[in-house]
Amino acid sequence: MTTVRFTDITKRFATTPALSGVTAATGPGITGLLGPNGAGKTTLLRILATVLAPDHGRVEILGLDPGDREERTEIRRRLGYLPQEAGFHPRFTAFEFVDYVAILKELDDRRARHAEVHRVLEVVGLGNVAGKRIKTLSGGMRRRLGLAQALLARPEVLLLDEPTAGLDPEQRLRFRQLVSGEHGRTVVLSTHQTEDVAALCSRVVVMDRGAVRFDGTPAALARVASGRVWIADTEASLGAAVSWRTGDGRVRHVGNAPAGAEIAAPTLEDGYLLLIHQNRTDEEAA
Amino acid sequence: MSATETAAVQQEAPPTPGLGAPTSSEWRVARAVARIEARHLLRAAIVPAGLGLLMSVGGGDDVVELPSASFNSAFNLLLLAAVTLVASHRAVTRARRDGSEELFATTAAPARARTGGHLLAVMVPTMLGVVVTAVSVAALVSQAKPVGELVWSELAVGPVLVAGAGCLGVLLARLWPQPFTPYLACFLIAVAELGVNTPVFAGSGLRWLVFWVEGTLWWLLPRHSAAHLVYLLGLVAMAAVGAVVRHGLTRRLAGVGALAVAVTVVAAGVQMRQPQDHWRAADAMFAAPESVQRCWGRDGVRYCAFPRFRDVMAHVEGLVASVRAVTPEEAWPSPLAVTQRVTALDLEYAGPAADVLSHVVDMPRGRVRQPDDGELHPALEFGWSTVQELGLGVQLGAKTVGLPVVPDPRTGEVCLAVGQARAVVALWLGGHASDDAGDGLAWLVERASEAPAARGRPLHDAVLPIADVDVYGGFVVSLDDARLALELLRRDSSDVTARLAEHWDVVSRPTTTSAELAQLAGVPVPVGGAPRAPFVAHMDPDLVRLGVPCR
Repeated sequence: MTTVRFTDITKRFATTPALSGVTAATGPGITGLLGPNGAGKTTLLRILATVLAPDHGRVEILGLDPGDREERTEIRRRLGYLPQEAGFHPRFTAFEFVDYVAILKELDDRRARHAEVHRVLEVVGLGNVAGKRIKTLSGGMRRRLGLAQALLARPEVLLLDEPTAGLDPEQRLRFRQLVSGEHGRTVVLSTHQTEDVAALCSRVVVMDRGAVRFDGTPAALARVASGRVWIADTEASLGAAVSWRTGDGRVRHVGNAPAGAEIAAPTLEDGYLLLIHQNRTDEEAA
Repeated sequence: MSATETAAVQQEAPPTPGLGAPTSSEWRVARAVARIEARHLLRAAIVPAGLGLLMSVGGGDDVVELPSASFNSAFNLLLLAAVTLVASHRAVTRARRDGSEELFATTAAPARARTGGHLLAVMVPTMLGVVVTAVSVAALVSQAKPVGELVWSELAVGPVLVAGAGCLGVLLARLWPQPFTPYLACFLIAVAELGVNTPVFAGSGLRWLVFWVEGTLWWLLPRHSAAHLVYLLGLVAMAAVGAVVRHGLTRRLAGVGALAVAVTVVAAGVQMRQPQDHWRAADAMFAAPESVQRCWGRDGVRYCAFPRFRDVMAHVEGLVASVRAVTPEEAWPSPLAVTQRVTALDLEYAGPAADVLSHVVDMPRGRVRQPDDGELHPALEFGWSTVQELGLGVQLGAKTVGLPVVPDPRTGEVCLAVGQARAVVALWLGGHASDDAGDGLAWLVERASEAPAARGRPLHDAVLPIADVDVYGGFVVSLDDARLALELLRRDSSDVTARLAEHWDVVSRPTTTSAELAQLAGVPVPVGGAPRAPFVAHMDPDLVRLGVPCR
């Protein structure tokens, strides 16, 4: 079942192209949007979140057209969104802020709304700091607070922009537990973290320079680098797309084999890096 | 996010339906937002409201004139209004400031509901203004004797100002969300207020277009209170409608906005025209006071009052009765008339309101003197100073002991009663008019004692501008005389009254000295010794040149 579909989406900011003919579709489950800075992930998420309107192309969310005023409102009622920068009000308490968003999400019944606010705060582990002002919360707590508001009213579509940025490993693990528990809904998360995608996503869309470069499973992305990942003792490798020294002192090369290198099993990160490198090389050659 | 992207988000975020009548859900969202925003506005408003309350309950005079209190009540809420303007602007722009606009733009509730919530939240500081006004009036009435009636439409001005400031803050936030905007607005409003409250605008109807106009002379304020209140309410409605219209114009909003503009314009016109009639009435108070006064008799005294001053004159009757209570029956002046006139004192403390009057009657306030017609002329207002009550009491005392009630009408000079027993008695009688009058005498003595080279100088010369002297009758006394009067005032009233009644012929005689009075009354002679007859010989030569001794 397809819940989010976007076809030939184009978006420019002044003279800068942000998205160029982006097409993809997804359904229930977790889809990772992977790409370097400036790839267009956030712009795409904003379009899906109905914050931005595309210049061209068609978007369909839950079978509704965000270009239509009434349908856009309906989408917003069924949507949870965590922006890259949620913009908390520091003088509000955690409860007050989430309650504020809940009001704007038209949770009219006061008692039910408060119960829902307490629920989402408990879900993200902030139940014990509900009465604290946001300015006293740590960065990780604020990120979880952002997630809490996105989870309000159990949205059918959850859009998360860089949800794990600034979280420590323990908090990231907790986040993964939270998101992986959201069965039956469509989750689209944008991230730089290939580990998050590998751990969470059943599907991954790689974007670079405003276009989709890959759309498939994480395993398929890893296979992009199949037979092209090497372990060697030397750094110099003219044919390697990327290479770096690992913790054990050896050098990992992705691309052509350096002399005396041993082949290694590819990871999702290897596939991603190779994909981006190839894309850049192709563009420069063109 | 780049600046370009940020701008694009703010401009593009497609608002959820702004057109059409608000849905019931929209109202519910607005009410819920208002509850949260109201709490934050309340936190900002509580301190200025408290300060307003403190400003309003000071004083402690014997009497409070309710019309004046009504006209001035809005002043105590000006700070609250300013804070509400800034706080409501900051509340509306909070999302932009903190970067949550993007998140809020993805919620189902339209921005119009949020604006509605901010407007509804303004009701909380407004209610706070109502409470401050009510408590301050209650406190004033409980502390002092109320005179006159409350002007409800004027009492409402303060809270309406607070509401208007809040709505203006919301409107400005929707038009110009920059952080400096509310402060600039407050500054510009303050400049307009201060500018309009200068004599330049004294004769112009334009002065009534600002929110609050200074004026201690309630009887001279030509503002049509009801029209002004309607005018302010119209402005509040215009600001509120303007804020909502930013999210889209509906037929209903257009109708309400047009009605608000029409009401505001009509009310502004009414209040601007009003002064002409009122000034004509004020002019008559100068030119032909008898023609507009109503007179009556009580306990052998004839009273005459201007329209709307009946309650004030009831207070005057009380002052006269208090002095009469300590005056020997045979010494009581008869016939006695207490008649209202507009005097220098009324204009001295009036501020711009006096300039309005000067404009109307084309008369410098220095020339406004009490007529030497043998009648007493009480101040038109009581309650904001002790001067008025002591003044009337001393005038009555002067008439009782045969001293001039007013300065020489030809020269404006007062006669010198320094060292005369009857002058001390006149002061003592004046101090009996009320508690405030006694306090006023003590204040004069204290101030004169602190003045450099006070000894041997006339009391008033050391304390007050000579223009004020006629308030206390047509004579001057020395500081020592005033000290003696104060000492008599502090002693048991019935004992002093009995002693003075026993020796009334002596103490009211022009040749009896204050030292002799002290002996008769059984109190110490004032420090420095009071002069014995002839008085002129004991006076500073400079004093003699001031005027002639009282005969």
